[in-house]
Amino acid sequence: MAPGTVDPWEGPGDDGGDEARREAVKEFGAAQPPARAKSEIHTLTIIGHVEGHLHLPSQTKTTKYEHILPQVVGINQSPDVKGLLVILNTVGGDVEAGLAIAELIRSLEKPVVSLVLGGGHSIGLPIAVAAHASFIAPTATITVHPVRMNGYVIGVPQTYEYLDRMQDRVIGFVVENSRITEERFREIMFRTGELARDVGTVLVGADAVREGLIDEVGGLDRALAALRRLIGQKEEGGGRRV
Amino acid sequence: MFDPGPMPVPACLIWTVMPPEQWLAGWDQVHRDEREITDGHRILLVDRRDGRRQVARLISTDPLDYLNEAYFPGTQLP
Repeated sequence: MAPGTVDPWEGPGDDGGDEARREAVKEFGAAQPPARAKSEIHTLTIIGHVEGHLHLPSQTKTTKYEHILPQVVGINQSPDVKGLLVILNTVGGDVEAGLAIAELIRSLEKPVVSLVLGGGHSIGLPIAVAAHASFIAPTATITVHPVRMNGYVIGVPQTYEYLDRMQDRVIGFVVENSRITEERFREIMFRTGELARDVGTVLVGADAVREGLIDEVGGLDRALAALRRLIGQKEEGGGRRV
Repeated sequence: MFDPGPMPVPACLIWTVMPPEQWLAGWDQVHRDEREITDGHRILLVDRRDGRRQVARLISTDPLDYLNEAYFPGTQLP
């Protein structure tokens, strides 16, 4: 590259200086075109429905576990990725697929921070609490309600026992990875009179923190600051939790 | 002739705020035209829609392949 010229992606080189910046303004209309930087933070979005073993219709926005699970393994193995930011805006979905994602996030060897925006309902909650630090936007909500079974089921007591045991799995995971007690979680899960078509509770921003499910109220700035702090601690050989 | 009627909705365990009747609604209408392309240690499941081919899914033994944008679901193939 000739002296004084600027690569629009790399910015001015060592021989750049003011002359190069003026040239950049003349050529590109910008003093310093943005460099194509590679981030050390990987962002994972959990959006729409968490899809299970069946394809949901194509007009439905879904998070597919077959895409997410190996990607988390890749994040764990990649030397370029130092931390993971999980952004949630989900209505919930398949219990086992959600738990699989949550378990993998929990056991990741790198710092993970979750941020609930809009909604982190139902199975979104175990995914949110699986991170080493969790944040919720002030206007975001989390709905806690009983697990359901869809489709043809056999109406025998064993079906209900199975449903109860599956529910215990998610309750156990949430209790183990947050500050809420099992008694309190069951109480808000089976509360009547709050939801029009269901039993359960809607927790808005600070409510989720007050109940001990989420660590802090905050947005992207606070979530990224916490993640950078965790990455620093990890590099110094410190603990994983904030 | 025997009419088996609509296909039964398979049972699944869900935890979602969506009404149960909406979950999986139209699942039997999903039709995909997918093919597998093998490339060394990786298999690309390619979906053909509107005459274009795009990556539907990657199956690879190398976890770093899942961070390679060339194999991201939705990536158009020539």
